[in-house]
Amino acid sequence: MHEASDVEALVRRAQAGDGPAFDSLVRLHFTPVYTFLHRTVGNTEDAEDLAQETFVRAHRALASYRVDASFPTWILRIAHHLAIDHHRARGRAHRAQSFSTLEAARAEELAARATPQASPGERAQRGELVRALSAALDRLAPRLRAVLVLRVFEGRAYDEIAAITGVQPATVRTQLVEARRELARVLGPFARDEEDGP
Amino acid sequence: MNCRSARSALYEAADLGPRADGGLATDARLELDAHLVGCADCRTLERALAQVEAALARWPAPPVDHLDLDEQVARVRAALEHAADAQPAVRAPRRPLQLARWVPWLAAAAGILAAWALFGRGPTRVSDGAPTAPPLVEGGPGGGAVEPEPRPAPGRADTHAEPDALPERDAPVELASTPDATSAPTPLTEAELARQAAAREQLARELKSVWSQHGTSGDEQLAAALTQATRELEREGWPVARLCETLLDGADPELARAALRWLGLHGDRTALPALERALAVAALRAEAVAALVDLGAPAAERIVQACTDGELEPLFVARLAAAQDAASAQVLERLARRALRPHATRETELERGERLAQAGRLLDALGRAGPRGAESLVRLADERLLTGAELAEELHAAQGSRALLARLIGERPRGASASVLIPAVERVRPDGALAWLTRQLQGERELREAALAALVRWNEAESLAAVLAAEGAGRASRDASIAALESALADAPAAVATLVAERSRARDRAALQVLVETLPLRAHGPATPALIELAACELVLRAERRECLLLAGEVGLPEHAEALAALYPGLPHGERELRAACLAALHRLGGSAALRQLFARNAAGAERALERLCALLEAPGARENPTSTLLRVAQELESSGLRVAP
Repeated sequence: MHEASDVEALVRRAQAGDGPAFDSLVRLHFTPVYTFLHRTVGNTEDAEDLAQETFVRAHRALASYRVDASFPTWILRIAHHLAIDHHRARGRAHRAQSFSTLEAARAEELAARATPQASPGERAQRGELVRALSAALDRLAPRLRAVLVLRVFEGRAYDEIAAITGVQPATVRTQLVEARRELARVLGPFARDEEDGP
Repeated sequence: MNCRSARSALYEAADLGPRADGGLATDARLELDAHLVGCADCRTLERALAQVEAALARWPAPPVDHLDLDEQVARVRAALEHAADAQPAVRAPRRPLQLARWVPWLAAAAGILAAWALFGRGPTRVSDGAPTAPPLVEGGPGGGAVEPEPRPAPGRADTHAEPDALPERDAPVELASTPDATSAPTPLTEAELARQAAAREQLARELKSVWSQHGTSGDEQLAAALTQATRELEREGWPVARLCETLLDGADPELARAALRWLGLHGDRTALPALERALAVAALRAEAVAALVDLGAPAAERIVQACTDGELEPLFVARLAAAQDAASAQVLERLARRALRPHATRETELERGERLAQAGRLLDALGRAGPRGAESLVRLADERLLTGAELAEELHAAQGSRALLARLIGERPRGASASVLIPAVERVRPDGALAWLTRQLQGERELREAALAALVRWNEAESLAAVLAAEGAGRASRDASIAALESALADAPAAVATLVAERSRARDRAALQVLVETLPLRAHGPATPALIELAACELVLRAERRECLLLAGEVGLPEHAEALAALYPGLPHGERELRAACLAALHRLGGSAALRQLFARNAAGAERALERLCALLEAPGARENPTSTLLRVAQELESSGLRVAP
């Protein structure tokens, strides 16, 4: 694990025009940026393309980066803006396709592998739950989904999420409630089914 | 603990639960548990949130094994070096391969290859170049001569004897001795036989010439040339159709092809047996198919029968789709209807798969068959052989479907007929579609829900207004309104801004309430104009207007500063906090320059007041504590006397 001071030293060298230092920054941060983008845009190819574009943009904006901010936060903020632009450009229909068909299929497969002893009925219900979740994630506004990804999957603090998404920490809290409310509304019927069941 | 605080605690617990910093404090947890015992609604929410967290926990991590960091570095490096001003690498969506659409063409290509294989090495039956013997062609049911068939104009009159009455090819029959022969069977004289042979020779020359010039031209050109070539013989009264039939067995395949096409264009039902025989000859198959399709309605039954042959079906389907006429569309419709219905009560999976694949090809063909094909698709959907979604898919690219759908919805279909049209109307968007969909909200539940779903996805101010009005009239849920707004915010945020302005002018409090509850939580950059419109609306509560302004400053883009600057002079002087919020948002989007521009007409001395204003807005912690910041800004505005001419 690299210390923050190592990263900052690399940033300073990159700002001074040191190409290998910038390459090291890409190596260090590409995977987290890609992972965040994958969860936000829902497919591997777009996530890779956007991650590359993130670093291209970062390189151009290096001069404006100030060491008083965290570099990982700064780079994720660029990635976040690119993801929002991407959603806007590609439209809702494509997002629905990407999440529903790719991620849900993977999640279902993993769920089935994890519980091979589950009955076909249970598996079907679980599959339905996963599909419902993916549909609910599709419907979330991109900003809500980004906040949810940063909080739930990446375990980031409100302040950090606020810095990445460019809103107040209080807004992050509200957006998380809103995102969960939407997901709960869609998944609520499954909870009722369980209650009705044996 | 009441429900409100319980729900708040539940969301907090959901957020903190799986995290290392622990869940709720013990006291809060106990209090919540006590409330949950007696509140079914909150228990439901608790279970739903637990489902959410469990489902999220099962969500797979993105695949990273394939990532080669050196390669990624190299790509970034290459992008930096070679495209310094490159745009985001967003590719156009890939179009899925539609194999069904290619099948007929592949089959046609296979047919052409087969023909090449046959003739590319030279004719299989070598002609000695001498005129062949007078053809042995029938005269009538009794073997006598038939009346000549002068048909100067192409026609498909179905007034002749049934083809079953015709003798087989090897029957000893004679051609009419002269053009004006009567129906009485008369033995041909040598002179008559010679004249007949000369006419046949002339026809062969003409057809051969046409084929060499126009054989590979388009259908229209070929048809015109064929018609012109035989005009003289027809004028003389020669039965050109019969003569053409005598050329089909000749040694010259090009001549046979030309004769087949002539029979298709100018023949009638009596030509069917000859065309069917040609269908069995691989080298003539493509022209026989074209001729049968050209023949139209009289050949319909034979084509339907022939299409049970897996090799012939693609050839016919491609040709029928290309014909673009009513008769061809009807044949395709019959074939599609047959393919869409199970052939047997106990169909195997394989049979079913093949049948549905064939149906897919036929529906594709109908989609390409012009307006008549589109009409056929609608009929099939009306018979419930196609779903609304399938109809929409086929009509989406079909020629003439916009006009057809506009006419159909103009005829005010009801019930199930209307339901099945909705997806196509949504996809194709014919004239009058939005008004028609809105009218369907008055219909029965199934129809209403389908129309509502279409309106939710329509993403125009008018459709949004229709959904909100439906909610107000109890014909749609709040969820539908939220979904419509979300969809429009993502794909057409300008429509939301227009909607807010329109509903504000119409003083539609119910719609504005939905907008106030929905917009701020889903706001992103492009939604800023809608937020500003909402902030401008006097019917909205002051606190909510203030919230919209602050949010506009937070999510807005620099280009939205102008709209905020335009809003400011219209805000009443008494609304100090709103004015302060507007300035704060403007400052956030456009910086101090935007404020200077706004107050540019103030007298000298305003500069220092502006500096104080900017200092307040830029002070550390100003954004984190908007209420106190706005209070100070309002006070500064009051004391400085900064004004903007309305």
